Formats: sequence, structure tokens, C-alpha cells
Amino acid sequence: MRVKPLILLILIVVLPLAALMWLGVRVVRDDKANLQQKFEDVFAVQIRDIDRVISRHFETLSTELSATARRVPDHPDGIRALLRKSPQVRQIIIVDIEGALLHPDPATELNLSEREFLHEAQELIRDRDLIRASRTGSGDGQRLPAVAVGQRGQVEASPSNPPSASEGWHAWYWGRGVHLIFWQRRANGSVVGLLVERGRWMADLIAALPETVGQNQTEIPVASTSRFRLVDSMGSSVYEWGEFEPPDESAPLVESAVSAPLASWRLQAVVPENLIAAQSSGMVFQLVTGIVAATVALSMLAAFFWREYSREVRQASQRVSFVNQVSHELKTPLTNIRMYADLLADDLDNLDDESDGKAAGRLRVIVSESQRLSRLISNVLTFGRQQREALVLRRREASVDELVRRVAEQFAPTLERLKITTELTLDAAQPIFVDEDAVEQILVNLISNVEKYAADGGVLKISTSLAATSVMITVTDAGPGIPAAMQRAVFEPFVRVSSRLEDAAGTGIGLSIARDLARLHGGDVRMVDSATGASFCVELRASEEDRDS
Amino acid sequence: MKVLLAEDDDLTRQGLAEVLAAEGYQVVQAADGATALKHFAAEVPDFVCLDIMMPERSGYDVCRSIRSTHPNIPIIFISAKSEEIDKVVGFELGADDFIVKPFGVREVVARIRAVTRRCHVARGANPADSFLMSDLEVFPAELRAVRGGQTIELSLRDVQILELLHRNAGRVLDRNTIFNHSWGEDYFPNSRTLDQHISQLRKRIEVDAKSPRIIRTVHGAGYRYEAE
Repeated sequence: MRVKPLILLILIVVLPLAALMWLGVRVVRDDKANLQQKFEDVFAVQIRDIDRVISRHFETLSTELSATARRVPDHPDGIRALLRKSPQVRQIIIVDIEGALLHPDPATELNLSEREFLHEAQELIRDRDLIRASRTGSGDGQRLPAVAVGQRGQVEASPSNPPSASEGWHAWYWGRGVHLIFWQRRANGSVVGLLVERGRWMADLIAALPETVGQNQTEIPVASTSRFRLVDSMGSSVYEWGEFEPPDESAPLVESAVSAPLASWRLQAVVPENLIAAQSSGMVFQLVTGIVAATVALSMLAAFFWREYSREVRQASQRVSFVNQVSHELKTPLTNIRMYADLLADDLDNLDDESDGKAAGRLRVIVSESQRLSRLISNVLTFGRQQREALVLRRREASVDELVRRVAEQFAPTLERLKITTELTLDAAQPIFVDEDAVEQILVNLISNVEKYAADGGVLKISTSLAATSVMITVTDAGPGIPAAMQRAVFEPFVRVSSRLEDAAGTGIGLSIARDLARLHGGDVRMVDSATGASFCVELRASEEDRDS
Repeated sequence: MKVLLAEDDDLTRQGLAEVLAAEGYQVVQAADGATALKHFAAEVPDFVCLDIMMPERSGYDVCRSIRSTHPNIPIIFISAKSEEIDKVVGFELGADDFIVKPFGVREVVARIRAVTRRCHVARGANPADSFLMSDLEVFPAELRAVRGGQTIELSLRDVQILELLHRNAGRVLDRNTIFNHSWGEDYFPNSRTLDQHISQLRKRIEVDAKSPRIIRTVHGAGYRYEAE
């Protein structure tokens, strides 16, 4: 009886909490992913802005170099003079339409710088890279790379240029890194290449990059919490800025290739590992607070219901115990009424036969009514125990036939008055282990029903039979019987065939008690088909003790 | 046979005492547990009827105390408490039977006769021993008589009267003799008590109570049984 509400309580409190926590964990996880995405988006925009700065820088540079390229003369001395006036150009190279080297011509006398360049640029010249670049129009540095960002994603820049371009950039890898050559096609098909001074353009580029990152509109404090890196094709950092100083080898949150001509370089944004976690911890705190609040609220609700429930249970048990107390208190006066009525009946029996007629008849009413009251009280008390699940048997050796005789004798005066004749067919004299009081109560309840509902005379048949492991007692009356639809329900407490005021009175607990007591005996009370009225069959199983003996 | 009856409700005790006396027992009464134990020591009854809820000492206490010195004496509990726990405790203490209030006289009589039979058997009486009075076979230890397969329940007093008449078959027994034997010498009944009892007994054991063949009246003298 106590387990069920406890399970219910657990269902009410624990299940919703578990669901809430599961949801909470999911929300936090999703939120973390969202936050990660948001950070990545913000930093991708930052990187795109930086890349745009770089692109603009090379745009300006290419404008200047374009002008210089146009002024490049054909003869070596003029070229050398131009070089001296253009500090940002380290060397000038001219190839014919077939890619063959026109300047610096190794066949002529070359200065140190030109010899050095020829030595470095052997492959460039042999492979005719410049003329090929001019034909395919490789990279003019104006286009922005399409930046796609994934989780610590790599971004590739698209190098394609319109094939019609007459000038552009060519990245030439030699030694430690990339060298940039600005090329320009001339009307005769030859191509002029300006090798930009590496130190110069790098210094200019770094100067063009922001020292710190500008504030943005998002709630993420980009400047103070991040570091941006420009990484060359070897993977080593060329330049870094931002307040955050990441530990070595920390993976970037967002990474993107720089636009041409520095397409092999990359821009990285690094943020502290715990930045996102710190942002989402606010959410976790809210969630924990929410769950705690929900726990408290649910617990209070459950406590409230529990109190209400236990108060009801307590009140119910108080009522039951009150009824029990009253019933017990009723017993002593009732005992005296019954006993003295019995004694008076005996006294009247002893008087002369003539005088006992009327008085004895009235006394019989007192006796039978006090018996009825006793049965009622006994049923109320048994019902109380049944409700408390405290019905226990106390088996002793007893003859069922004797019990039947005793109960039949108890009812004899009443049944005689109702002109009901009793027919006993007893065949279970051998003692078996039963609870006498319980069996008596079963019989009393069945015969009480006969008294109440089959009061129009006729025959009450009670038969007993003994089988190997059980005793059967059948009680059959000559009354109106029980409608088929009610035959199961009448065993439920408080169910009566008719509750109309003009019908017989009763509490409706008799059959329920009878059945429970029989079931405690390992048997049952069933309705059986009969030619007349209602017929109940009581089955009682002999106990273990019985089989042992 | 002597019975100790301990019950605190006066009316119940007096009523029960009357029932027991009518059955043929000598009754010693006590209204509380302490008195019950005192009487028990003084009188040494054949069996004991104990109420459970009593002042001074409860029925359980009294039972435990009696059992410590007389382990075999039959004890019947009388109680308003039909709760199982009481029964369990009672049986563990060695109660022989329970009479639960409210009870009728017939029930009390039935249970007391059952205990008396057990007393007889415990004292070595053979339940199968019997004697014949006319066509009636009397089983004194069983408190029963049988005629033609039909069983007649008898009280202790009935059996005592029948035994006396049977032993003295053919002799007239005056009222005083029967009284002293069956009621005890310190019992002072009114003059009709014996006649009423005999009349009731005849109703049960005679084939025709109007012309009795077992207990015959000898006018002015007493009663007589004539063996056939």
C-alpha cells in the first residue's frame, strides 16, 4: 500500500527532472555548436577583411609596377638605369614570345646582380614560366578568394584569371620562399617581368596590415581575445597581431588562403581554447539554476501532494480505527444482551408449557436480532482488517460438518420464523485444518443472505463433501437468485443486487469477506448453477499441516 | 469439575458463571487478574476461563503465570478483541480455545464441553467407554449419548445424573442424594431446580418425555432407573 504512492512520487518528480536535464544537456551542446559557428563566422569575416587589405595592397603595387613595366627599355643599359631608379624592383626579365630569354642575356656581359638572378632563376627560364603565365593569365591579384570556413577549415583560393589579361602576377618559388614577379605582355608578344624586391614588398605588406583588429558589431570581443597570423607557404608565421598570445601549435579557429598572388600563404585566426567554453558557461549556469529551481518546485509540489495523500490515508485509517474501537466497545453490552436473552430463554423453557408461548416468541426475536447485530459487528471488524490487509488465518483441526451444524443451529429460530426448512447433507465429518472462525463467518454471511433475500420460505440446502485435498460446502436457497449480469459483481465490496430503499437492508460486504476468507484458505467462493434460487459453492483447501498429519 | 472464571465485567461474569453452573461445573469467580491467580493457587480448578483485558494483571499475564506451574491445565480466553495478533499471542501462550465477544450461550457451552472432553481424555478416560440405559448408549467422557445412530449432546451435569442413576439401577434416589452428587454439597437450590433439570433432560434423552423409560419419577421419594 505504501509502495505505489512512492513509485508515483518518483514518476512525478524524477522523470520530469531527468527529461529536463536531458533537454538541458542537449541545449547546452547545441548552444556550444552554435557559438562555435558564430565565432567562426565572425572570424571568417575578419579574415576576409584582412585579405581584402592585402589584395588592395597588391592592386596598388601592380598599378605602380605596370607603369614601371611600360617604361622598361629594350637595351640592357637602359634597363639597368631603370632598375637603379626603381628600388622596389630587384631585377627585370624579358622573354620573347617563345619564352626565350632576351634580358638579361647570358651572352652579354652581366653585372653581379644579373648573374646571381640567372643562377637563381635557371628553372624559371628553362621552363619558360613567364610566357606560360602570360598565356594563361595566371593571377593578377585583384580577385578575392572565395572563403569557405569549416571547423578549423582550410580555404583554397581560386587562381583563375581572365585569359585576355595583359599583365599579372607570377609567384616563383625559390630558396626559402615565394618571389613575386609582375609581368606585362608587350605588343610584339614578348613579356617583361619585374622581380619585386622580396624584403621590400613584405615590409610594405606588413605595414599595410592593421596593428590590431578593428572593433566589430558582434558581442564577441575579437580584438582583445584573438591573434591573427599571416603564414607563408612553409607554414611559418610571417607576421602576427592581436592581444592574445596563443601557446605553440594551437590550432586556428578559422584559416583561409590569401588571394593571389600570395595564394600559397594563409591567414589564420587563433582564439583561446576556453573562449567559447567561457561564453557557453553562462548558459550552463542558467541551465543549472533552472534545473535546481525546477527540482525545488517539483519537490515542493510532490511534498504537498504527499502530505495531502498521507493526511487522507491517516484520516481514513483513523476512521477505520474509530469504527474498530466503537465495534469493540459495542461487544461487551451486546455480549450481555445475548447471554442474558439466552439465559432468559432457558428460564422460559423451564416454565410451564402454557405460559411460554408469547414471551418465548418475543425473546427469540431479541436473541436473533442480537445475533444479527453480532454478525454485523463481526463483518465490520473483518472488513476493517481486510482493508488493512491484516486478514490472517489461524488454522486448527476442526470438523467442517460440526461447524455447519453449529451455524445452522444459530440460524434455526430465524429460518423457522421465515418458514424456511433447512436440509443438511453432510459428508465432511473428518477434521481438517481450517480457521474455524473464518469458515463460520463464510457460512454466516451466506446464510444471512438467504435470510435477507430468499425470505419467502422454501428449502435451504447445505451440503458438504470432502475430497483428497479440499472441502466443498454448497449453500443453495429457493429465492429469486442473482441476475447473470451481477454474478461476478456481487463479490465486490459494497455491491448489492438492489439498493432500493424498499428492498432488504445490507452493507454489501458479506460476500466480499466470504470470498477473501475462502481464498485465504487456498479456495474460493463461486456461484454455481442451480435449479432454484442462488447457489454458492465454498471451496477450502486443506493446509500443509493437514497433509503432513 | 471446578472452573476458575476471570472476567472484569460483572454482568458478563455472572452470566457466564450461571451458564457454567447450569452445565454442572463448580465456578470460582475473579474480577481481576491478581484475584484470579490467588484463587487459582487456593482452589486448583480443572480448567480456566480468562478475559484478556482485566485490571491488575492481563489475561496473558495470568495465563503465563499458570502455565509456568501447570503446563497442562486447559485455558480458554474470552475476549472482545478478535484481532489476529491476540489469537497468535494467546495460542503461543498455550490457550486451548478462544471465545470471542459477543458470544451466545450455545457457543460457550459447545466450547466448554469440547474442553471438558479433552480434560477427560487427558485424565486417562477412554472416549469409547459407554454404558447402556434402555436403548440409549451413554459415552460419559465424550459428553454424548447415542440412540439409533443419532447423537445427543449432554452436559457434564446430565452425564453425572445418568451415571448415578445407572450405577444405582433399580434403586430410588432421593432428591438430596442426586443434588449432593451433581450440584455439590454447598449448593442450596430451590426445590424445583432438580425437577426442572430432569424435565429438560427427559426432553432430550427420552423417546417420549411424557412417559419416561430411563428416568422414572417415584412420587414423593425421588427418581429411579430400571434396567431392562
